[in-house]
Amino acid sequence: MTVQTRMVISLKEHPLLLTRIAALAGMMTVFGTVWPVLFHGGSAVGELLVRTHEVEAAGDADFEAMMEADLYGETGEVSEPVTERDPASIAEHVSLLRDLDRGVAILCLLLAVGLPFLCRKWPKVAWLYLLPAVWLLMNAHAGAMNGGKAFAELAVPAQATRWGMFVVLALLLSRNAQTDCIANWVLRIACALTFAIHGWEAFQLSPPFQDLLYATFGHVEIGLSESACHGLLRAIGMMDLLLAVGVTAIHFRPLLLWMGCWGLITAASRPIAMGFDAWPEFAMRLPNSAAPLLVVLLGMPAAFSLSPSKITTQQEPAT
Amino acid sequence: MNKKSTKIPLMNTSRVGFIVTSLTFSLIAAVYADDVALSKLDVKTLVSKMTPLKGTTPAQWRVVWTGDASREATISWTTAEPGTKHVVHYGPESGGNEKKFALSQTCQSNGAYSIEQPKPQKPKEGESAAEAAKRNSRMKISPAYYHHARVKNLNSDTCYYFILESDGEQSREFYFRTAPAEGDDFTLIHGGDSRSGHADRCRMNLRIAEQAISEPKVLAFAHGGDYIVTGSKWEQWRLWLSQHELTTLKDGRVLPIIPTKGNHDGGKNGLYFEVFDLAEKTERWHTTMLGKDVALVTLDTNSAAGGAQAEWLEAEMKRLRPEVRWLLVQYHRPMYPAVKGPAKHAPIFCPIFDKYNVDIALESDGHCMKRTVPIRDGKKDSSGIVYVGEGGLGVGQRKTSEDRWYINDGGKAGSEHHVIQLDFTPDKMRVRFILMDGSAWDDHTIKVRKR
Ligand SMILES: [Fe+2]
Repeated sequence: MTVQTRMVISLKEHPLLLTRIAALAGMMTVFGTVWPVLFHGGSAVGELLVRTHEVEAAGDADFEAMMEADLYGETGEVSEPVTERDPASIAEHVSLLRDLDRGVAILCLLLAVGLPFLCRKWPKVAWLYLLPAVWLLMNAHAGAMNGGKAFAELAVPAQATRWGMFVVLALLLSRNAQTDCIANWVLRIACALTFAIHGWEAFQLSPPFQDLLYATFGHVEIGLSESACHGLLRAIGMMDLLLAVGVTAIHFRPLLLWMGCWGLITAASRPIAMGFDAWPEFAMRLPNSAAPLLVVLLGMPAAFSLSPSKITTQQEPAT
Repeated sequence: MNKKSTKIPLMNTSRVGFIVTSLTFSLIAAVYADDVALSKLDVKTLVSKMTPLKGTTPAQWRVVWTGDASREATISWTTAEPGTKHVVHYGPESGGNEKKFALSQTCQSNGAYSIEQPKPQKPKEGESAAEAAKRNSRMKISPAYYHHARVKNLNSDTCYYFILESDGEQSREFYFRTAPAEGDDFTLIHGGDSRSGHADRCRMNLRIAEQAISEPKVLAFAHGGDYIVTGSKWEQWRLWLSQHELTTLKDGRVLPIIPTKGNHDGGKNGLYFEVFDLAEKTERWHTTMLGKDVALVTLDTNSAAGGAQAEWLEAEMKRLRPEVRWLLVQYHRPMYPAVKGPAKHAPIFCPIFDKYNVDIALESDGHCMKRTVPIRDGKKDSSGIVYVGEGGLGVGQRKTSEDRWYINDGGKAGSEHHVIQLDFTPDKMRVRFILMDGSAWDDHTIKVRKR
């Protein structure tokens, strides 16, 4: 049986389930990301744009050049006198950027919610899923540029399942064998990146991860010692790194199912530790759980998969 | 005669009245003019107030408090060249024209700031290799050197005058006041987030100095973190340090700084710790004793709240609460934010704050102004803790989320550059948000807790 026929069999069995899970996970991740944009100040891109504008309007670069010339004897040339823009015009521009930020976020939310229905009638609009994908990718990149968070510089690969989910949706809904094969690899690589980066952060004892453990254990009245917390995080880190290698190397259903469960547990740990108000953090991380499950449902081989026939047997449920 | 005698005093009274009124008006006008000037001060004037970093001329001076503020301080400065001998001459009397002081302390810690040089850029189109090399060499950041003199065994509630000396190059005379041994008749200024907006950052520094001029009881300045955008970049720290000179009063008075580490102040090279002479492993969190009645506990929201920090906090609170009248905490990321989501530290820190009845929590990071209602166990409670913040020392201000329960119904939020002024008295603490123009946006009183 060729790879293509196997894939067709798989998609014949699960086409709706597959796209529904992907659409739901995408919807939730956008919902979780849009919520803080609307109610907690703005997106990472919005923050970056606002800061860039404020710094420019305040004449910071010219100020720095003047200080470098006058105090540190470095540049020796200050071309322009520093001009600061009127605070009212800065505020107006910032307000415009904030509105734009919210507008784009709402558009992405509408696309994530509306496209599953529109695609039934016009399959080609599935490519519009790339817009939320680009928005999430840009936000991850802006998060890395904004800095100020532990491991912020790794945000793009760390959030690969989120933006990757929409690439996968666009591919799956275009419904042909080649794009399914690409979707399989996008999912596997996205899972590998997200799990590897989170594993690395855990292994490096990322402070927010430590606090998730302390707070979660605290809720069940278990006082976690620092050494136990560190030991646990290192073990989790190792596991995540192995899972990241595993998802690209082999197609092994129990491993993928465990990745799905683990993704769900780690996403849920946020509201468990922080309270229900942290639900957007849970929602935006749902693709970490959904992506490995989609790989299972796709049932296509990994880099060093077992023989095709075996995989076919594995993925086909007993009827 | 009687008429005359009554007339003269009347005339005298009106004259005195006229003089007093004129003086009052001119004083108000002078203060007002100063305030107007503060917001309009141009950049050239601001930069001209700072000390160039040249040779071994002491510049970027600061006095750092992280321990017993009645008895010790770290006096730090920067030079452009390494030099060999760095001494602070100090004493309870001014050195006068001859600059003679009773005491001196050789710096215990000297070194080069850890500078990450920008990567050399390739030649641009039409640019020769030599030109590119020249351009790259211009981009090179000049080295700079820190000097920290840890002075101990000071007398409480005493002005200490000092000059900084590096290889014979002397600074002008400065002074700072140590905290009283006991009692709380003083004022503390708190502010955070100076990471961008250089001109406004400078103006807020001048505002801090103005506050200390108008309220001589101002003892120190606690910074809530996010001094700069990228903590690993010396080229940003040096700007902040030069601009920090502006918090020095015209008469040479330096307000000791009590530092907090913000989320933008980190970096593998540990510049934050070099700037404030702190040990990275053991001094990420610390307690500053402002006499025996006021304790300011500084926490680190970049480190995990649980584990070592929580254990330390619990032990410190247990030790301090029965001893001090005013127990304050400061840290960077807010537990009850007015803009963003709460810090992940909240589930661990807040129950400890509640348990030990902290008197006020000083927060930053949100780039806004807020004063919460008193909160205990996540609910409004008149016996609870008021959380104030969230940083406005130059950075662009954000719009607050008005719908949050803790800033409504008695709480307050807004968006302007500000510092928070805490006036202590034995029975109450007055908490004022002072804006750049010197006006108060909020004036709130917290009563002392029954002990
Ligand atoms: Fe911050």
